[in-house]
Amino acid sequence: MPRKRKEEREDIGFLTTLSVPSEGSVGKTGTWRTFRPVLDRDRCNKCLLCWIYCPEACISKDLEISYDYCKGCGICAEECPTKAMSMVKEDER
Amino acid sequence: MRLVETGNHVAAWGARLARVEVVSAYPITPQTQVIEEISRFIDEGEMECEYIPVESEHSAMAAMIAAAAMGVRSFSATSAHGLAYMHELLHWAAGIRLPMVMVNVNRALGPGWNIWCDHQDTLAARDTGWIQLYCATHQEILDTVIQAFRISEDPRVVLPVMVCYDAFVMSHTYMQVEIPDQELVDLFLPPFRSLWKLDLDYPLTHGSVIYPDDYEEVRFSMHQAMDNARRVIEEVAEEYREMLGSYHGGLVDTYRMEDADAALVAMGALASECRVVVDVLRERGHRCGLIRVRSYRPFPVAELRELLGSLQAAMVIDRAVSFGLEGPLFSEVKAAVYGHGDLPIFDLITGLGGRDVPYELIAENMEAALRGELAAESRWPSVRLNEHHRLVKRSLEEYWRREGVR
Repeated sequence: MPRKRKEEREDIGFLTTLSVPSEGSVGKTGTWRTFRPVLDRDRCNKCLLCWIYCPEACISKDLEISYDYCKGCGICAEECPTKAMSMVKEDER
Repeated sequence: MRLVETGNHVAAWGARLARVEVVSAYPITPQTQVIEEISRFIDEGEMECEYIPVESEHSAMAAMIAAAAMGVRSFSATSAHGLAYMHELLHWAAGIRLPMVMVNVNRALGPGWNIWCDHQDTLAARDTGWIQLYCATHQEILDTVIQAFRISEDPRVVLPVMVCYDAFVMSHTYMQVEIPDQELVDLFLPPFRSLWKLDLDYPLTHGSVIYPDDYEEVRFSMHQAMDNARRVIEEVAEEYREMLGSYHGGLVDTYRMEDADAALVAMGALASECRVVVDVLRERGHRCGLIRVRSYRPFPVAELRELLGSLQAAMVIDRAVSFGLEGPLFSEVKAAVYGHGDLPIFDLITGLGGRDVPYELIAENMEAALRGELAAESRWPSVRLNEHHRLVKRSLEEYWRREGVR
């Protein structure tokens, strides 16, 4: 009888489900988006509520939007007091 | 220092000597005295520790997880329904790899509200990733609580440890215990350094989403850690013996196995009683020994193969049942020796819900097994319908007659 093969596995050591904050650790979530936020800088009063409320930190303090990671949740548009932020359907840009 | 103390107070002494920094627990019979004694230690300034009184066992384990995730040495104690209630969080503690120690005083599960001993509660928590160690004497409770922190915090392991002992038979009886000097325990058990913790200077979170491509490796790492724990449990027990003097076995503890050709296999206080059975059987001419399983997870596979492989028979005592199969310890002992020897293995499911197990019951069954009169399967040698059962049946039958149910 041939000798049976016993499974050999390397010791993978300590591994657990930690996550460390990093840019785009689960890939470019911008691809999930159906509506994109578009800022009308003429109407914007720079109150920065969108910067505060964006749950994905996709709006910078100088109001640049990261379309690589923005999932299009629309919270910025909802919170914007001057309606400077609007949500535009991706295929109608 | 020598004390005469209850098993529960001895467990509290173990936590105190281990310099536990957070205790989070909810009282439940028969565990209550463990945390009562700890709160007394804290109140009287004998223990520098934060006691978190919580509203449930689910919260007790959540607070333990939070404390351990801050890199703090944490301890809890529970029993039966408390353990069942925190079951989900047992998985969380082990899955995010947090060292901690919890005492579980083995108690039967309801219904049939029953505060007495069996092992159903912890055996039902078998696959949570917790190491499970079972004690048979009060001294072993003390020493195992201290050893458990070393095992749990060892970088090769990093899994939580459950220290189990029997309700009332051990939790509420008094035995003499040698309390080791704090300085010696400090040398044996240095302060806890965690492999990861919640830290503002190095922000991270734990237990977040993990995708199919990543999950299996995390589980495999737990499995390997459990495997490493076999060696660590043995090493820690040896080191404890060298530094502090007492020893209760590694993964298993044996009694008169040197020349044995048959063995009893048991856990907890019933295993102590089995020593009496071994002595009695030897007087009657049977070369019998005892294997006491101290570590149920990791399971002592190699030890059981070596000890049982050359024997003619073995009988397992199960203080629990896997409904629809057999005694759980029985299943696992058989699985361990599969392909290593062809001895018949027998099983007694007995002592459920605190039922007394006279040593003669085990001796009689072992002798019957050795005479070849028993089938190699689980039997329930102490099941008898009594007056109480008959009363219940009579009143049910009356109800069925009246209502035309049957």
